[in-house]
Amino acid sequence: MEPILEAHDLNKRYPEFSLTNVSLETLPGTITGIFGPNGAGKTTLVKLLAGQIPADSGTVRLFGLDYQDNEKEIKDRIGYAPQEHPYYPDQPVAYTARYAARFYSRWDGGLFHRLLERFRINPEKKFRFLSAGQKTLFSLALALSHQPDLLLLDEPAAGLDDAHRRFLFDTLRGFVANGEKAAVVCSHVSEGLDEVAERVLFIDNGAPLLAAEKEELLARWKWLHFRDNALDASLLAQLKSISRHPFGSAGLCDDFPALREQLAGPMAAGDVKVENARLADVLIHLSQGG
Amino acid sequence: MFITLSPSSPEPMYKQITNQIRDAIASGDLAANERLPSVRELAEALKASAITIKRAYLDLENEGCIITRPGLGAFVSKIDRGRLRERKLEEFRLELTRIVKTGAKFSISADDLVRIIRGIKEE
Amino acid sequence: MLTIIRRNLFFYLTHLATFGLPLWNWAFNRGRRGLVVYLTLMAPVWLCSSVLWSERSESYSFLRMLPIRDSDVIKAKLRLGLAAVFIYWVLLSLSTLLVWGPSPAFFARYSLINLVGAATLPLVALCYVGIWRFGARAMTAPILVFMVVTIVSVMGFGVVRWRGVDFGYGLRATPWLLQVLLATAAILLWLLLARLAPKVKHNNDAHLRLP
Repeated sequence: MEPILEAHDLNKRYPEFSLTNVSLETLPGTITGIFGPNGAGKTTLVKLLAGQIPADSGTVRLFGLDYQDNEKEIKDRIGYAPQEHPYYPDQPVAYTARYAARFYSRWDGGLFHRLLERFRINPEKKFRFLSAGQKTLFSLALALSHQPDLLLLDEPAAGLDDAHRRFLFDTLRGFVANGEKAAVVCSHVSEGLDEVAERVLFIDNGAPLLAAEKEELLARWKWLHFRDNALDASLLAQLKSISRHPFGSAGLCDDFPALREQLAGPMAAGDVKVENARLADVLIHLSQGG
Repeated sequence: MFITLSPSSPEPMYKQITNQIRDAIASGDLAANERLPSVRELAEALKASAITIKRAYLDLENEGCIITRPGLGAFVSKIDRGRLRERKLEEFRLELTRIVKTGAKFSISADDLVRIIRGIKEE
Repeated sequence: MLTIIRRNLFFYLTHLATFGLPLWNWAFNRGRRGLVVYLTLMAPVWLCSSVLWSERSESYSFLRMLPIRDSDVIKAKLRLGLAAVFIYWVLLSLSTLLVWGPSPAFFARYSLINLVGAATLPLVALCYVGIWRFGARAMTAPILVFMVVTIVSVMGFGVVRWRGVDFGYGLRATPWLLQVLLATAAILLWLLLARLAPKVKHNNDAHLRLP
């Protein structure tokens, strides 16, 4: 299956920051989550993918096209919701939507107004008077309303309450459900989005630290809680982030299937318990130096 | 003693603690009259709130497994192995009922299960 | 492209109204005939102001999200500027013709209008290119300074004139050939700036910064 989005060795240098050698491939029907701490380069990466800034080196191809020759066609087919809202602050949101609508070939005004209603946003309200969550929701509505084939969302859950977060995740799942569209979402908080993403890319300090299939990742990374001295030295050496407390120890292992046999005995004896790791556990560990 | 909390378990945290302390007493990890960790110690170690630990200790005290002495802490009371065994048997009975019922759906009889248990015993 | 022009039109039109109404009023009510010189010299101020205020309310980062080529955005705005200069030139020429009739005095003032028009065309393009290089916020001060300096000079010109010295006469009697050459040079300069504009806009992101 042809990837919807292909990026190879993207590099972008700024005076105080540079993004180095990031590659990414997104297949149709998938959601990719880009995670990392604040300032890691996620926004820069998404801007490169959305054709908002030019890369110093490397290539980006969407739908088999590149921005040099097919900028209009690509932008017509991607739904980009930036983190810093660039919309006219003193204009009602309906105005901004009408303005954008004239440039998109597949604009669905009905969908846009239904979404605004659902988000309880008054279309005649000026953009700068919206709350932070409403601004994010407006961004999302605008991105969805021209029926794109690829969503590129930067911090799409910023300022959203639980119900709208849930709506966002359901919308993302529904968006890629027919197997033809894809979504790339980035956030500095992995909770929530880690449930929706199939692929995970972790960036820190402008460099990619991890790129993996989420399910496979979480099958390998597990927390092991063990009674002190229940594990022999060789096993212990393979654990990371080991912490001890008076009533047991815990460590993160990065390849549980490989250790399963060795652990079978202690597990059966009740000396070792296995807990699922959250994606955040893996990311925190990696950002602290691996 | 070895206690861990599992955030994904459907059992509430205080219950996980009481279960594990009871198991520790039964297995000999905790001896009679041994002093249990203070509420604060355990709360810090397990990253749980003190209220959760207090509740667990209260439940254990009501069952008679432990005794709290004001100012001194919580202590394992005289171990009534019989009662602990009874309690564990009851837990197993419930779990085994579930296993038997599920097995029935797959035409696995209680005899099949007994055979398995015997096999395990011989290992 | 029309959509982009339409949004910027508001500032151009309001400026044109505040410029054109007194102009027509003067033309039809035969006010002080010498007024045309002041109005002519004020045209660049009005036009640069139109550019400045329409650009201050623009959001290039928003435009960049939309499926529209940068070159189309540039073309739309520069052509709007060109059209505006042309309209001011037409209005000034017509009003002057109405007031002075086809007389030598008319032609003298008409030369001034042509010269100022020729100078203003690349000036407006330069304002746009400057904004694409440095951003509207950064260009506000320079443009305002230009406006103030021009206004003060025109007032000064008026004072001097009133005192009997008319050193603008030489300017107003420029030979035809020179005027045509200057107009051509203006258009060539405008085309040159139009050609430079895409590179400047592409290589500088100051104008993308949000209001």
